[in-house]
Amino acid sequence: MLHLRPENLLVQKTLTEAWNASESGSPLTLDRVISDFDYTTLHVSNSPDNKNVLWLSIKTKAWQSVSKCGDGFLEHLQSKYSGFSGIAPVGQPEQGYDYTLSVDLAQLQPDAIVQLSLLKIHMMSFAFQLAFHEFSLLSQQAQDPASFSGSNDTGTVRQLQYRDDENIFIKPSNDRITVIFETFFQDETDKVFGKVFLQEFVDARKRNRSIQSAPQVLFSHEPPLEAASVMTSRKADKNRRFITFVLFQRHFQTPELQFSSVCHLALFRNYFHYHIKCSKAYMHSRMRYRVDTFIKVLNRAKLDEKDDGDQTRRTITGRKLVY
Amino acid sequence: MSYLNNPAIVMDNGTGLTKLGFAGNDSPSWVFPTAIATAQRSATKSGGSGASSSTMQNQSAPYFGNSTSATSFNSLASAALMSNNLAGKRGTEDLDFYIGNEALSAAQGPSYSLSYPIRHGQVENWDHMERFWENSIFKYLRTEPEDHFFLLTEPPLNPPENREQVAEIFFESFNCAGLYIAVQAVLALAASWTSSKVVDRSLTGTVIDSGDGVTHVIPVAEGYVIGSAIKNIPIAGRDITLFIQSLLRERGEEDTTLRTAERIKQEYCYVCSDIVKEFNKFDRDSEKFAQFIVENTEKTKRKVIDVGYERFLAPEIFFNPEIASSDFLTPLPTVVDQTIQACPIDVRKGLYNNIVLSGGSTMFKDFGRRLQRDLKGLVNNRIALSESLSGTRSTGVDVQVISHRRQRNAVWFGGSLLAQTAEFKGYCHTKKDYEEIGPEIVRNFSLFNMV
Repeated sequence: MLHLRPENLLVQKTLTEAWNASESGSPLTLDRVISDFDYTTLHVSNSPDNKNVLWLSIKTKAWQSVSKCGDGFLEHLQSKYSGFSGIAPVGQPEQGYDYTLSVDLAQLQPDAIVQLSLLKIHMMSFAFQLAFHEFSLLSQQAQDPASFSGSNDTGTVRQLQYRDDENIFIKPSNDRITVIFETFFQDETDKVFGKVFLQEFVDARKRNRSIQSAPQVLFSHEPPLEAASVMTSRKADKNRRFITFVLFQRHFQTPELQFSSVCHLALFRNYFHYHIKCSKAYMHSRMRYRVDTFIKVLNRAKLDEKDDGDQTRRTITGRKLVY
Repeated sequence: MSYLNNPAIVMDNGTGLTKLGFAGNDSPSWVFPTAIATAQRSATKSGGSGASSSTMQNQSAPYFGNSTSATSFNSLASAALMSNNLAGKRGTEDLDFYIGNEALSAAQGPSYSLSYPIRHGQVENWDHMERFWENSIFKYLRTEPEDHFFLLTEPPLNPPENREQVAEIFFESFNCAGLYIAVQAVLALAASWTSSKVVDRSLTGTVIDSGDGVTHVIPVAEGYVIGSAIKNIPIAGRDITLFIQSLLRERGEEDTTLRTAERIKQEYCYVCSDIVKEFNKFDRDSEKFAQFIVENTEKTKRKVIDVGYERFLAPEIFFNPEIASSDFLTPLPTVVDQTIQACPIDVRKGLYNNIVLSGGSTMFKDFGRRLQRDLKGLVNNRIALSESLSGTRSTGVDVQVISHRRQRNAVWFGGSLLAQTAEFKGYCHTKKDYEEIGPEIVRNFSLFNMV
């Protein structure tokens, strides 16, 4: 598994089970907590009055900052599910959660289950959608010389605070969208691994001609200028790293491309940390292998115990009898 | 510190099945075989990706599949260009593996080989186990281990070195926020607190844990396993299934696959109080005989299998092993009695008083009641004998077998119950403690005092 998949397998499994049970006439009683990356908790439960209607609630760290990005956040989420019958937002979200969808199992379609498992991605995608929209406005302005001011830095920076001290900054301008990840490592070893990986992200594009169409990646210790306006209030910490992705129009021309770009960007940090952990696991297995070979060498140095003639008896397979 | 609000993760890695889930849920989120299918070294790249696409759920884009080539580096002719590149020096074969049910289906192809990293409850292959955990955390549970506390289980008599290995993996590879390793038998005791029969939430009792391969009888006194008294019985779920299969074959039924036998075991079997009476009941009343219908996948053919005496004979091999095996002849109640008699005298009453069932093979109807009756008989006989020999009156021993609704995943459920309490995080060793003291920190965990 090289890539993390955008959909939440557990949401899919739980909903499919509930759907099957409801089809066969014996609806399940559900009260399940499901988690996702970055302080995201989902809760699947029966609605208070009807067992065939499920509530899917989400609570996530990024919610607050995403909803501050612009108007129409709830409408955006609603539009993702309006095409499916039986799915509707619940007016008052469940206690302790940010957003609640009610899912009528009788009308549920398999496609809808996949879309429901993408709830977190859809939530994150709002900020990106706004940026895509602003990009198209800005690029139209740039083509019209009358209104073009000549500067490339006119877009607004949107900030997604998706973890306690980590943020994503999205800045559209008339020819590109810049996405900046601010990361912070809690562990010293991770920092070293992370540096190697990030350097590799930056260099891979230079080395391999076949991936020239991939977004450009930059890596720095200082906040990039695009995000500097938002960063000034914050004390620049030594442990902070900044990864910048530069998206051009070819990365978000069609809705499919937009979705795929958003998935990759939204999962970038998780992908990155997953691979740090995988490399550690790989190194551990190499270390175990090496220790085994060393032990073999050491065992070679052991002296065979002297046979005391008739004192030692052996079984037919050569084992010693101890008595 | 917002990881405090995230639910703890409860992982019960058994020999056969792994149970994964979040604390506070009533059942594990994932139950799948503890199996890992790794790419064979000789397998070509194309063979590997072919097998992976067939086992993936079809709705996913191939890009997010198990493929280990992000930009198809390996198949490109530009290999020479990449000679100075890390990815050119070594591939990503270590990421090409499946776990659980996907592993079983992937292993049917030629390019993956299946292995079970846990043998007899203990981790045998740490490389595979580390990757198994990696995939279960990131793919199935979708959690960032830095944000969550973990509760893992271990079999009784697990060497402390193994615990240290687990701690090294969880703290150093995964950087988990905190870790608690609990003994399975203790968690099974905790799971029994949901039963209405349990009044005091004590951690003293005898756990009968019967899974697929082996049945353990484990005495636990105040949260500590009495290791010297543990007894194993080589009769468990698989033996019952095989016994049913042999009965079906003897009778010449149409379908005698292991799968059919297993379904019959799960759906029709129960424990009776007296075999002779039960035989008579069956002969008098033909209603007792059942029919099991096997349909092929297309639902075009139907085979009707008669289910007869095996309904009560199959679970009977726990109580009269001689009907199925010729090398192990001690009935389960006797083994339980011997186990408790091997324990220190001051805890025996508590052990008789709280006999807890756990595992799928204890799910037969009336299993607990029969065990309680037989055991009571043994104990009462002994008391009567000692009374007649000594001439004094005994105060008597109360034998109680507790069955409850969560028996099948009792260990996991007990873990979920304990890990959702507010105190749980206080009992865990945190990453900071680990860095301060080192792996030997996990040799001791304070016990849950639920009073």
